Amino acid sequence: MQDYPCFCLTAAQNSAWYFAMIAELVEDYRIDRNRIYLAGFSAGGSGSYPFASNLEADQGLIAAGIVRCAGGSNTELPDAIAGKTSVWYHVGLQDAYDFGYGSVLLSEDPEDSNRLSNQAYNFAKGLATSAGAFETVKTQMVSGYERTTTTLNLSGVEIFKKSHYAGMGHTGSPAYGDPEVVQWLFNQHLSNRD
Amino acid sequence: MKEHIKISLILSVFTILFLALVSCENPADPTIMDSGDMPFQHNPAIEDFDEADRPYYESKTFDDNGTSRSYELMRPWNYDKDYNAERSYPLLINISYTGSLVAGQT
Repeated sequence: MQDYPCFCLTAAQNSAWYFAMIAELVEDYRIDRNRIYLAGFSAGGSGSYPFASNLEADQGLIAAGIVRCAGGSNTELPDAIAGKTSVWYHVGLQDAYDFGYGSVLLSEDPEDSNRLSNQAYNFAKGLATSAGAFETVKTQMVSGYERTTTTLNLSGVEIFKKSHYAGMGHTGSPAYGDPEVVQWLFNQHLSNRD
Repeated sequence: MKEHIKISLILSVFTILFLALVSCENPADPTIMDSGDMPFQHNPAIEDFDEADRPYYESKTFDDNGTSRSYELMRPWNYDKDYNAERSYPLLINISYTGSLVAGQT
């Protein structure tokens, strides 16, 4: 709260009134519309892409950064958002959580979350706005897990990152507890992608 | 004993001078405080954070065409301080289950 002072909203809902409320907050408070960030774990992570899409469609607000710990989600963002928004995807390679919602079983195969993150990464990589981007790979220990992060770099900006945690199950704690992740998120700014 | 008192006095004078110099820094300096059009910077150490001002989630309501909707908002620490009056802040939205694609994807 001291190193990264910001407004925090909880329990986001993917509904029209919520987006209207956010627009009102941006008008009423000194909120920097260039630094709207999304963070979601599990179903919240899966909902981050449709949330970002609806936020843009409803109110013309675009997220600057998204941290996802998701397993059952679409993997594409509309061009208007994908070209401006940086994403860091976190996946536990032993995440066998039932990604279903209610009685709907979407997946309980750890490979699915891995596959989804790869699809999301490849989608970002294939965008016209990503032309000229280059890839770097880094492996490090984070909270006792070996984390391999593949990063798409463009003009000095990390536009898409996917981190795979070997042996990790369904938890977002290592990602959210990593100062590097927090710093990365708060360094995102829409002007970074001009 | 006299020497000890003398040293203590000198140290006290230096401490007071140091604190006076620190307090003279202008916390409203826009080149330090306002990151509105720049990549985010760590909060400068010159800003004090009083525990009494620690932010908390406020329960708020939004008028959704006559329907009252509830939500919670936490403002930045020291948001209301005069020296932050021109400063803008990021908005972090935590998407929980209710933000999932199944709960209202369009």
